Amino acid sequence: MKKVYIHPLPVRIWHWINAFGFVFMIVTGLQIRYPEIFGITSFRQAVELHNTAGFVLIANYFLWLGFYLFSDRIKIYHPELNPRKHFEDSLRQVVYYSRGIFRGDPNPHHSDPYHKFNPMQKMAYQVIMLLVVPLQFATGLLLWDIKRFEGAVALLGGVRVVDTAHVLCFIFFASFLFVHFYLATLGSTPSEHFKAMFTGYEEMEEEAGS
Amino acid sequence: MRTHTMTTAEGMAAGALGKGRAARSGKNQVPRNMILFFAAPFIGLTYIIVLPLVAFGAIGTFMITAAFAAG
Repeated sequence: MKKVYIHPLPVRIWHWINAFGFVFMIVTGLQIRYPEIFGITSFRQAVELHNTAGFVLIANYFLWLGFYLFSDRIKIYHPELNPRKHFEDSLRQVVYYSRGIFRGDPNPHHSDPYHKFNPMQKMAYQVIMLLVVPLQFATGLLLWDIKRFEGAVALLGGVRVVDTAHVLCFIFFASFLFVHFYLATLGSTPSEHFKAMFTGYEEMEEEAGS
Repeated sequence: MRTHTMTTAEGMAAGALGKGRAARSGKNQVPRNMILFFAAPFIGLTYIIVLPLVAFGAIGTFMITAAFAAG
C-alpha cells in the first residue's frame, strides 16, 4: 500500500463546509416548502437561515473555484478530448461498478493527485461543479430578492420557471447525496475515502511493477 | 577547482534557463488551462448525453459478434 496526497487543504475545507451546508439547505428548504409537515422552526426563521447558509455556500464555492483556477490542480477538471478514449475508459468503469467490484476485481482507475476522478466521476463533477451548482446558486439568489432581480426573473420566464429550476436542482442534489455516500464507501476499505477527506492522504494498492 | 567552478556556474545558468523556460511554459499554460476548465462542463454534458448511445452500441456490437461466432 502507498499513501498519496489526493485532497489539498483548501479542497478539504471547501468539501466539509459544502457537505454540512447542503444538508442544512435541504432541511431548511423542506421546511420552507412544506411548513405544515416539518415543524422544526418557523417559516420566517427557516427562510432567514436558508438565505444565510446560501451566502456562506456561495462564498465557499469561490474558495473552491479560486483554488482550482490558480493552482496546477486545475487539470483534475480538464476534459478528456479524445472521445474514443473517454468512452472506452467509461465503459470499463461501468463494467467494474456493475460486475467487477462484486467479484473482487481491481478498480481500472488508479487515482493520483492530477487524476483523482475516474472518467465517469470526472464528467459528472465537471457538470455538477461548473453547471448545476452555479445554476442552483443563481436561481437561489434571484429568489432571495425577487423585487431587486425582477428584470432577470422576467427574462428567464418568471418566478415559476426560476423556482422550478431551483427545486429540480434541489431534487438532484438530495439524490446525489445518497450516491455520493455509497461511492465514498468503495475505497480500499469502506472508511478509506472518508479518512482521506480529513487527512488529505489516501491509501492505495501499489500497481504491479511499481 | 576551476573546472568545478565552471561546471557549477554552468549548472546554475542551465538551472536558471530551465526555470525561465518552465515559468514561460507555465505562463502559456494558464489560458489553455482556463479554457479547458470552463469548456469541461459542456464537453462533460455532451459525453453524458452520448454515453447511453455508445453503451447500447457496444452491447449491440458484442451481441452481433457473439451471434456470428456461435452461428
